[in-house]
Amino acid sequence: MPFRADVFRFVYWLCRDRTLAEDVVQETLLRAWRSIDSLGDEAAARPWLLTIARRELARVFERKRLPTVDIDTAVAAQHEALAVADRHEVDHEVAQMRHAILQLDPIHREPLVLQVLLGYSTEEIAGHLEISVAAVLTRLFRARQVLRQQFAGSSEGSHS
Amino acid sequence: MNCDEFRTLIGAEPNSINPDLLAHAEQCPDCARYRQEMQAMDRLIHRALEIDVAAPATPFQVKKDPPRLWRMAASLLLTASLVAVTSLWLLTPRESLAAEAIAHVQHEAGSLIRTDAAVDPASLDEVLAHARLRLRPGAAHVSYAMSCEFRGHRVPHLVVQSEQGPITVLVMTEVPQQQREEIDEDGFRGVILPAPRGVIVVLGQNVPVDAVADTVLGAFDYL
Repeated sequence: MPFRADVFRFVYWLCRDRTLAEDVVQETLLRAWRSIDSLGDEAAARPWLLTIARRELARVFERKRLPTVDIDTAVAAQHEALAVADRHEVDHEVAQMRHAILQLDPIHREPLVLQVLLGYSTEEIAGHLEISVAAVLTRLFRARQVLRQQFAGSSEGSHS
Repeated sequence: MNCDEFRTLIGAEPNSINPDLLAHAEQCPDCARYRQEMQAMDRLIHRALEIDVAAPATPFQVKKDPPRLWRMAASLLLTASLVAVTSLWLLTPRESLAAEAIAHVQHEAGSLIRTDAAVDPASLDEVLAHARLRLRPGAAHVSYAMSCEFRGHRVPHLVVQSEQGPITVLVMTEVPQQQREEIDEDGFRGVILPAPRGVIVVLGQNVPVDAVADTVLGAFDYL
């Protein structure tokens, strides 16, 4: 299925839960199929699917009122889950960066995923998030600053 | 533009090809180094974000099973939907390989800059290793290397710096082999070359690509 990987990764980095991400992707594909007529331009299929996925995830959070957990516990669990679940071995640097990304504030993480992983332009991110281009640039800058600091910190820690 | 403005903008878009940014980087070695660091961090972020999609569930995601009947109904509905969507996709006319490759390059336009910087050999090896490839050391000045998803497979996306400008090389080991095909579309000129596995697509904008195409074709080891 084209774009399935993109949609899965996008949702995963929003919710940080593989099972939930898989459920949301399935629901997204069903909703997309039901409203396929509303997709005018085939080239717009990927952003269209991502928008549906984002709404679906918001719906899940509203419906379920998912329990909140301590951020350190969640990050530790997700960090280990990623390491366990990847078929390909990842190097230490990548694992550290994943750990740092998982700790980012969602409002910083989402534009970063759209830009770096999915290749969105700043204007496309602004359209997707319904915020100004200036706000997107600020969030992207802030995301990288935090990652730089966290990554530098975890690297120093790992070498000590 | 001063250094603070440069670093703020590069911090938001490390691969920006804004002429003002590039001009500042040429004049300020510290900022040029900062830009390279941010680009290197972006490559790492990309690798980190590219998690495995088809991994099985782990003990961290155990959840209560829904009733069996509901599970079966949901499975049937999902299967039917996937078959229908896939059929629709397969019946839809596909773009040519050249057009898809050009669209992909346009999507990562930030890679198409003239630069003296080179990707570090370890990163390049890692990108190529995903496609079971190796590039002989020193064969080309590679300024950009990413493992990109293309037609459902990982494709090494390289940019080689030639004297005339940057040239994109997409090494597609999973697409069917085909005869040599010249490309002249959307401002891009290039060539699709048959390779030991799949093809290599070489693209440039107002840059002759034949020399680089011949070089890389001879310099890749298919493992």
